[in-house]
Amino acid sequence: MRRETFDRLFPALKGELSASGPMIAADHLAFLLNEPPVRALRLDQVCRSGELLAEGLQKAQRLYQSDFIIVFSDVSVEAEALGVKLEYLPGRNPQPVRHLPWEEVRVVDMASRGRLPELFGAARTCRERFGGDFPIFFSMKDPFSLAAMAVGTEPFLEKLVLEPEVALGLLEICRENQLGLIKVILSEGFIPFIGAPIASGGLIGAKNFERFALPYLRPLFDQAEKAGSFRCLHICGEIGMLAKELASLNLDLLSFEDWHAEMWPLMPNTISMGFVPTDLFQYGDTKLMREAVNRCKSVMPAPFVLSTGCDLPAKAKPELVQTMMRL
Amino acid sequence: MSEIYQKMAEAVVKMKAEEVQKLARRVLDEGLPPEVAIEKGLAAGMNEVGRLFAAKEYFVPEVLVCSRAMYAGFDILKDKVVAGKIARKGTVVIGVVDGDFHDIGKNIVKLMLEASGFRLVDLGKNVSADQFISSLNAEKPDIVALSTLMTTTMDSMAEIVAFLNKENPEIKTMIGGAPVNPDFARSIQAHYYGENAREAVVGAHELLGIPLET
Repeated sequence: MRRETFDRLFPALKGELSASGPMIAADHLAFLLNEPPVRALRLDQVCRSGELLAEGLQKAQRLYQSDFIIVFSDVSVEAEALGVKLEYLPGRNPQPVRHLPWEEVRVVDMASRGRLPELFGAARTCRERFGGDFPIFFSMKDPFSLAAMAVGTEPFLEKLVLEPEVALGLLEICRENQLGLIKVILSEGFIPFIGAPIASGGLIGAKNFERFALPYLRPLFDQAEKAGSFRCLHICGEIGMLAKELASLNLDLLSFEDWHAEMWPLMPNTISMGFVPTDLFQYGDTKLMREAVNRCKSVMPAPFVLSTGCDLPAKAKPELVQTMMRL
Repeated sequence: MSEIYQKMAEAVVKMKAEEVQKLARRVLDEGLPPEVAIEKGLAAGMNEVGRLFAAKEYFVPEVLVCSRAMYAGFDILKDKVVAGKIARKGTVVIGVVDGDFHDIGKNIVKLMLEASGFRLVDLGKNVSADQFISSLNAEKPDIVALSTLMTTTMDSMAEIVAFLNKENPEIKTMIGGAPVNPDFARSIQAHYYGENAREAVVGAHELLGIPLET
């Protein structure tokens, strides 16, 4: 089963035991685009332009020979589409300057708002360049993380304890928004890659994950599977304590930065992805990278996807990404 | 007398803000020393919260609500404390480094350090190296604590630590946050890496050579 999923996800790699490629956000793309010849492009320009994002993704793919690309700008894209006001400062990732009052979070047409049209444009341009068989993932948030980013993480997390029914109401709205977004991603033929930066085990624990994150993730994956696509999740931070919950999602692909060997027998059909520590790409060297990659290869059940544990640092050294890709 | 402090600590751990407020008012009504109530009630409660957090029995949502309960009592008691009655173990300047607006981790570390007797100067989030450095003269910190959630901001952390080690070697540096680890701390020559808020409290005591009351 896993082998079949792998072959469908990565058709060019039939017969191979692994695929590889880094997870890249707009900040590293901006860094790559400014490699010679210098164009003095700023991150705040790149993250708002589908054209530049596509150019960056193509350059990254050429440079790193990745087996896939992930269309991903930064974590604030969908919060902005919901109405959160962001500040774009030169050379910085956009940051929220005004979260939404709870009552202002509504069901909207996510795909047509904020920067999402630019991201879809970037994904389409990449598909024209790479062809229809090349795996193009499209990043989107899980409803829990989106809810936190919409109203502010601390007020949202407090509400889980103080007024859980209110938090659940917000999560339902966020789920509806993300069901709308995933529908567009699927109809365009991209693979939805759901990221859960705040629904992390270390932040909220298994009980909160089970009540507030899991039920809102499941329908997104069901919709992807129903459309013939894949159940792909990236989860930040600690995941060992979420083994049972993650196994219940029947994932095709789980991207992570935290390795727990004991959880993988629970997920025999899930392809593991990630685990190479991101700080190594900026502060490490070839020897450390080799050790990290060898560790991944020795523990991750085949077939697997060798990748960064989370998105690359903006100033990741391209030669270290290439080292990971070659090993 | 100690019963009321114990009840206060328990109410903090159980996230009962109203109960903490009632007990704080009772402390004042009965003429008990507010600084002792802060130390043996509120701080002791947060110390237990820190233990539960480190043991993965409590997570960030619970810690945030416990801290809300603690502040509900603290706000009532603080104005009644006679100046100088709260022992200060040292001053910690804390902030989230330049380029990062995620401050949950920093806020929890701040809260736990404050509850355990340190004076905290919170520079907030997205704090530039210049802002950290300019705080040194005014605040005379014993420790500078730097937090980040994003790999993109680790450069700023390295820059601040390098400056402090060169210009103010007497100031201890402590770092924490999702993308950093003990190897990174060693590589930038930070004095301490704390994986969580409880470790930050232990580290602050270690760095200043103060015994940690359990």
